[in-house]
Amino acid sequence: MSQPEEEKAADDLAVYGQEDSARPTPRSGSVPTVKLPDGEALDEQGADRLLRSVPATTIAIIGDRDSGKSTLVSALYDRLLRGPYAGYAFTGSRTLVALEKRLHDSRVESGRDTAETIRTSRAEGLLHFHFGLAIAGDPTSRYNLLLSDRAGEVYRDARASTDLIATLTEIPRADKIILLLDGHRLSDVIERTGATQAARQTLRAFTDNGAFGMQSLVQVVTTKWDLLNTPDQTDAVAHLQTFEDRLARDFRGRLGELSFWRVSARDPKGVVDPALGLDALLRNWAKPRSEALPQLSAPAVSSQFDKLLVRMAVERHQ
Amino acid sequence: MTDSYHSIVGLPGSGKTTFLAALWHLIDAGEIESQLVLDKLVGNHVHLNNLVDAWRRCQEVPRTPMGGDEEVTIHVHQPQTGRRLVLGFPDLSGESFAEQFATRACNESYLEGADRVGGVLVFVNADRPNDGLTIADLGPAIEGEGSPEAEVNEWSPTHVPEQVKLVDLLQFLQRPPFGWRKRRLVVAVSAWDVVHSPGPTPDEWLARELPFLDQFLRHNPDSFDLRIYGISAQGGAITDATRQALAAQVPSERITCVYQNDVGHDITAPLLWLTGDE
Repeated sequence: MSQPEEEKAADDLAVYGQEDSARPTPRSGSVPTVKLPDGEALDEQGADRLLRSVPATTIAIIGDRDSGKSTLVSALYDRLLRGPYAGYAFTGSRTLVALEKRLHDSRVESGRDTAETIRTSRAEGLLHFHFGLAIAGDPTSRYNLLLSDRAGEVYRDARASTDLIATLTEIPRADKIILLLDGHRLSDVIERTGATQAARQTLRAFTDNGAFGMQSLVQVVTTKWDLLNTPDQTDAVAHLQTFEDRLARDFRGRLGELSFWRVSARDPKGVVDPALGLDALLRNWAKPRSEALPQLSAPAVSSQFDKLLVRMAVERHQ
Repeated sequence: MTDSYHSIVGLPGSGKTTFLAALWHLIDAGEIESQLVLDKLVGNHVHLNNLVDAWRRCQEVPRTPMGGDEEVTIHVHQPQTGRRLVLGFPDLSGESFAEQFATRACNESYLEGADRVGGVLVFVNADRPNDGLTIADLGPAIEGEGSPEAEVNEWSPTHVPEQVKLVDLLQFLQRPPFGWRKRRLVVAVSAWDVVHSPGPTPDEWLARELPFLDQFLRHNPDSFDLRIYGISAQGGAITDATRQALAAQVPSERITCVYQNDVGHDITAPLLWLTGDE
């Protein structure tokens, strides 16, 4: 092994085993067996262990019931099953079984005739799905993505009773926040205003109560874009545009970043491209946080002590 | 003498046992020049002889039942260098790997074998069903046209596509309780005769047919040093019409082993590479 390879191997070895400190105990029985990782979604403690062992970008996906949180995660997994996606290749997942279970009801093997995604129940609590990725063709550029998901009812409750917001531990931990706006509700004139107001109120509740702030990178993602991107939905699209403009006007100054995205994770009619818009989101998630943070005006540096502090900060960042 | 113990990974019907039968014939018969040849007969070879008997008759080689498999040890040497090697192959039952995925547990012997010096031989069958299709893949014409009474299948490990299971089985090797080290890994695409010429190279085939597994293997260079071979251990599909013609060939010449664009008969080549040499 060359010197850099040795160093890299040593780095990996340093990480290896941190997450799984103990060798599992063999089970009793006629044939000795050894327990292996379960591949299920990570709970809070599991996510913490992963974050301690490898650098990862954490994405908190928040949105009302049926807004498409689980489908977004499944769509990303489905794309990677078919090859590198959006310039990224799959390198591994600690939650492969959980991802498979989520995708099952979209598969022919499920026996369904219409694709479904099983919703996350309140009882399941906070779940995390892990994707190990690398720039396709460049295995050295490794990057871990941890997407959180929990029942939409919990976010609805937190919007209504803001003292619950502090219990949502995924928010302060998140590098980026995805706020989902249900395109299906937008496409229905009766539901439309309720959908946009729910998203707006969520943003307000979380910002007013300190969960979102200048450190927060918030992406408002309109799901099920295939239902809106049709000639008979021009009113809905106009409504959406007005909603986004007002949200930007009222909240951009209070957040690190507020951006707007549109995705169609799964179009049942097969008219729009599969996972439309998800590729752009993934590329954004992979972008280092420092590139996404707003450029703050630099303070005047005058004394030698100020210059030393700046140099130390730069070196630490590097 | 170098002991090299190769872990064999593959789901039911992936071609593991047929490969072993062809290997056992080839290294012993001396019909073609091979990089490894049989050094000495040591131990019990009843199991291997039963397999190779079916193979020589151009019969389907009996699949290895779970719990009925035996560890196979073959003593070989490399004529060019005189170097002697002991090739060890563990449990060959595909069902045991399917169960490992489903139960999230493995035998201690598998764990110990994987930690010994040697590589990993992963089998996939080129003649495989297209698993993992989504409802959307079937097209909008089919979506929503099913019977409302259609039975819905709850998720079970049997529904998981082969390439996902293989990725997970290989991921196990990257974490405790398995020892961390870089392993040489060969993907043996069995039944290569069904890939019509001019067709893809084995590398191209894997990227096209099992893209999830391909990405995983190519983007974990710290864990796996990868080669992909196309192998036809039987020489073709065995039917009433083809069996006579297959049997008429020199048995070792029925075997095809393709690496990149090189086509030959020597299926010891991937094993020699797994031991750490060309």
